[in-house]
Amino acid sequence: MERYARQSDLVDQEKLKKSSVLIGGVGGLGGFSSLYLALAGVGTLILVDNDIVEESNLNRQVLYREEDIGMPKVKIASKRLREINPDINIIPLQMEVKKDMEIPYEVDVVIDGMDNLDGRLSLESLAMKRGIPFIFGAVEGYMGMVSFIDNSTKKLEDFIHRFKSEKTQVLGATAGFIASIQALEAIKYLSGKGDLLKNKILLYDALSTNFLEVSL
Amino acid sequence: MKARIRYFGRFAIEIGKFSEELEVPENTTVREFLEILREKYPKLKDETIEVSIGGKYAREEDKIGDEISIYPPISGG
Repeated sequence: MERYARQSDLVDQEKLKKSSVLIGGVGGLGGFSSLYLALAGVGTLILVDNDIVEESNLNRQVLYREEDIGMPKVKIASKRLREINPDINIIPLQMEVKKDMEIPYEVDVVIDGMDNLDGRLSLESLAMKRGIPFIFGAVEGYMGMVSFIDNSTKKLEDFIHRFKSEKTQVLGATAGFIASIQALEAIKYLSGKGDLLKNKILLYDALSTNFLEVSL
Repeated sequence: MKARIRYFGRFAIEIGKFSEELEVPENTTVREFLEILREKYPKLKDETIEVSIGGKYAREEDKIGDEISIYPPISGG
């Protein structure tokens, strides 16, 4: 297919087409990761989010426009992603991310697009129960971090202490670079290519232009 | 012992620097080191702090080394 001609040596396109990725939260992170996965031709994207589009989302949530304010995020995200790649299947689920949520679909990978620790822990738990990977990503200010978690690796609870969380400042570009790494981890995993960020946190602080790799 | 400390994220902003060298007693644990740091920088007093020593995730009872990175747990998205 001509659409994928410039990536045919990089990925296993047939495998991507047969794959299903669940994105929990389609805000800053989930907007960008779903966009990259749709472009790459991942066959099914399951979007889970209960929020509506707000004006304050528009500095960083790439899938939404001013006219979408007040509309459910999963509805608008599905529409935009279908415009970007009509060949893939998008399943919007307008519901809160919870540990015991029912997802009556096959899922190969779960991607973190949450904006709070409890939501992330719920997604991680869902993924581990299904025996599939969870690709953690989080951002704050100019900084973000990513890790690839599965049943063989350390879990969020092992390397993130509970902390007093407040609404934080985030740039679209920060969410974009972390979501890009999350999407790359998913694409590599699904294509069976390269190394993964297992038992490692990759952290980037754009203010100091410093990367930090932490082994767990 | 001379240790090089790198500060990430909001800690660098609160402290006003990305890195520095500090003289720290030998055999200091991470817990003791964080006490020293919180004393020196009161803005860190109420912060939850994650620490990596020589690129490895460190727990409070671990001994510090000469390369220390300090970063906040974050959860935005």
